[in-house]
Amino acid sequence: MEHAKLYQRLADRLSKLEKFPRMKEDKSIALLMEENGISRRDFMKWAAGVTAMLSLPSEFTPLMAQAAELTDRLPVVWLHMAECTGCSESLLRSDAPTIDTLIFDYISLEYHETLMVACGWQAEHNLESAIEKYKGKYILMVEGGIPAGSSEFFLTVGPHGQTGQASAKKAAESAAAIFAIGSCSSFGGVQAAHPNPTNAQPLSKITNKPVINVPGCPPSEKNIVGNVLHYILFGTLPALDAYNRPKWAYGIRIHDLCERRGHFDAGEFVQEFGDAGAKKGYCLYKVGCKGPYTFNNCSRERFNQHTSWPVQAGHGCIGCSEPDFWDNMGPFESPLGDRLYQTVYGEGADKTADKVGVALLTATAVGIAAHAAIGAVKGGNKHSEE
Amino acid sequence: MKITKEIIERIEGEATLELEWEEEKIRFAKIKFMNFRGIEQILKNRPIHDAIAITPRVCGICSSSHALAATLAIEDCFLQEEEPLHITQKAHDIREIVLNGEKIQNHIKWFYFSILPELKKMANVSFNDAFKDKEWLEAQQMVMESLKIVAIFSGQWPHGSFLMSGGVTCDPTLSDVFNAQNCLDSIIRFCERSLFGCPLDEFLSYDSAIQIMGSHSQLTSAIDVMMHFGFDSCGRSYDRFLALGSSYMYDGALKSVKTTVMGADVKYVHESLENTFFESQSSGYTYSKSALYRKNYFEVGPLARLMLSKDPLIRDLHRRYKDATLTRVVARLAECAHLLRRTSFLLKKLNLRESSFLPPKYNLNYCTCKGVGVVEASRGTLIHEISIKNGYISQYDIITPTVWNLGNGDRQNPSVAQKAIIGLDSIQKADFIFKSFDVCSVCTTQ
Repeated sequence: MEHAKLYQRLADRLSKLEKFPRMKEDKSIALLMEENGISRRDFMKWAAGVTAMLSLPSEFTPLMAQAAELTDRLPVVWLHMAECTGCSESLLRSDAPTIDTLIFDYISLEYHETLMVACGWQAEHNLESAIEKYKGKYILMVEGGIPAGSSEFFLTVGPHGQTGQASAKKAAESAAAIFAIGSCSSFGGVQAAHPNPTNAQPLSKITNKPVINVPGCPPSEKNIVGNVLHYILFGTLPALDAYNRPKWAYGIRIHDLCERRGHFDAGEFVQEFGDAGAKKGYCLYKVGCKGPYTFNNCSRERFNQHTSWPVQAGHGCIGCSEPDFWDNMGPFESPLGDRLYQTVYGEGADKTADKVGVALLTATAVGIAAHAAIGAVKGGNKHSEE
Repeated sequence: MKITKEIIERIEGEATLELEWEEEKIRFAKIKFMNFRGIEQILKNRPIHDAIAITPRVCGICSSSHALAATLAIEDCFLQEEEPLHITQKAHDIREIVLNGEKIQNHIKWFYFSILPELKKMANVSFNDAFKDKEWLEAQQMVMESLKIVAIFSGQWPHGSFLMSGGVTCDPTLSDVFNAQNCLDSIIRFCERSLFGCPLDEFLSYDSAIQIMGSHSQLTSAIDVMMHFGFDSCGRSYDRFLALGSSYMYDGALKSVKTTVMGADVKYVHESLENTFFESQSSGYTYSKSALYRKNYFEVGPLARLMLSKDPLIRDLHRRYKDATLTRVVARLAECAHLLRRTSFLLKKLNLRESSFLPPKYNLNYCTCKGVGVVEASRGTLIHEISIKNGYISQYDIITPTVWNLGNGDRQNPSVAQKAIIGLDSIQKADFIFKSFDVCSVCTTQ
């Protein structure tokens, strides 16, 4: 019953969107797919995949397909701030059979510095005209941390030498929805790590409008595309967690669906890289995996078209979708449980326990450390029995 | 005298070219990179191995190169302490496969996303829709395939984590290797069909520029357009080349002046703060430092590597056109062909029975020492220098390839790219020559 109601609501939203004019009259998604030899069947399979990823029931698949076809009604403006372009690179690796690519790169990306033909003055003009033309309708995606306040001069963009801060503020003013792509624009990222030489700030500190954070270093391409489709379908903010991350992507811990979880539960750990446990694919907790403290869907969605993810490559999660992970999660090769009382900067997790969420994490950390210790003893016994 | 300002986009990050004109010719060019993040400062006082996770974030397009350079720098510390680590052949091979995969995707991306649209715009002024081409989509798919090869070993790309001092953490299975080979084969097929217009082995056997000019391929049509607009004679620089990182194509670190190849050593590298904001807040104009070898600018990158390894095809192009833009563009694509064959060879010979990682027996936590890691990345020589004090990083210095090529010299001693641009008569040409170096601003300024 509830599903039927939601279905109706989304269908109404899409039929309203359909009345919007197309951005480019001559190109539609259907036409493009035909040109590029992508069958309707492939497209529906893709739509079913995205529907599942957004935790919607499978009967919503036709709606998802319709939403994808309507991506040419809402433009996306993508801004680069202080960053490494890794998030754009992440977008470029998006899912086969290139439907994401078609939707994004061909249709909806109205402005993207790395991916567009225009440059220089013309590009600046394109940005201004996109903001003007689609006022209140475009989706803004910002990549990178933003040097703010008295050090905003550390980043200037465009021929007018506008600071990154001013540029982001202006674009945010008339955006319909704002997404901070990657840990840098969500939480400040690597440039905001201690001592934060450029006073880099997250996007949410720059604008007063609600910002949806899509952290990760870089975030999964599926989370980027999924957010656009979610917005087209619902037209509202998704359900968010305490750090403004969409729950459909960041609702579970890496640890919960990790392929090595069975070994964790059995107390089978890699004690150091290259040991027998490493060869057998044991749990990486003791060599620094931060999966138990990190909320993201990497273990389910993986990267580079489901190819792999860091834990599969034998290295623990570094916690890259958590706020301030560069300072809080390191050293990346030792478990968090070891440094509850001592960290690089002298303050342990116990001292920061008053911060939101950390208290909870600490408790988990203690629990996990204890579990690991017990596991090791058990494991040891097993060996001696053999 | 007039001064114009041009923003260069469709590179990694953004750069500004400030050109001084005299009698319709460019007299001097200032290259400005206007972003700064301070990664070197952030690295200070952190645990040693965090460098392997943090330095890749310098650049999203050559993240594995940075991770590898940091790893090599740490491994060099073990050597300085006279406790050298043993790295198995398998670990060496996996590192090289990952590095090659990253370079292959970079070269394809650079050509199809950066160079080709520019040439098409030049050849046909009304043309403004390069990204709606089928080739673009195909090239993009090949980029994804080549990143899959990287991801199979490194977990993900960009910013994979698989490197540790002592080897690699991944333990690929035979099916992983097959998958990688499969991806590689589809890239090779694409390149043969679209880029080179002939089988890979045939292309690699070429030793004359004439041989690449007659075929039905993107390479040939790019050469045609470049010749038409005079890029076979402009964009020349010092004709000095440098490659300090190791490669299967040559032995040790090398430099060359014109075609004379000599040994080189990383200890002669010097980083200059000239014209940067770090030197002077008032008279500086960029965040990019410049790297020099014995006080001279040297070109790094695929052209340098192929010149130093005496590749017959590139040597022939060089004989005809010197280090003009044309030679530089062809060199990068020729390197792509070499990398494809080399990676295929490495995947075939990868010995999965060997260990991926041998744990270090020595602990760096109580030492004070210095290590240097050098990697030949997509754009040239990348140097990481780490200083350790009691198990923490006390100083970290990164010299990226772009600071070699796109440094900021003065009028008497301009940098490689500045020299290539001075004397030109149009902004469009300057922009293209600039792009032919495969600019990366995020790396340059960190």
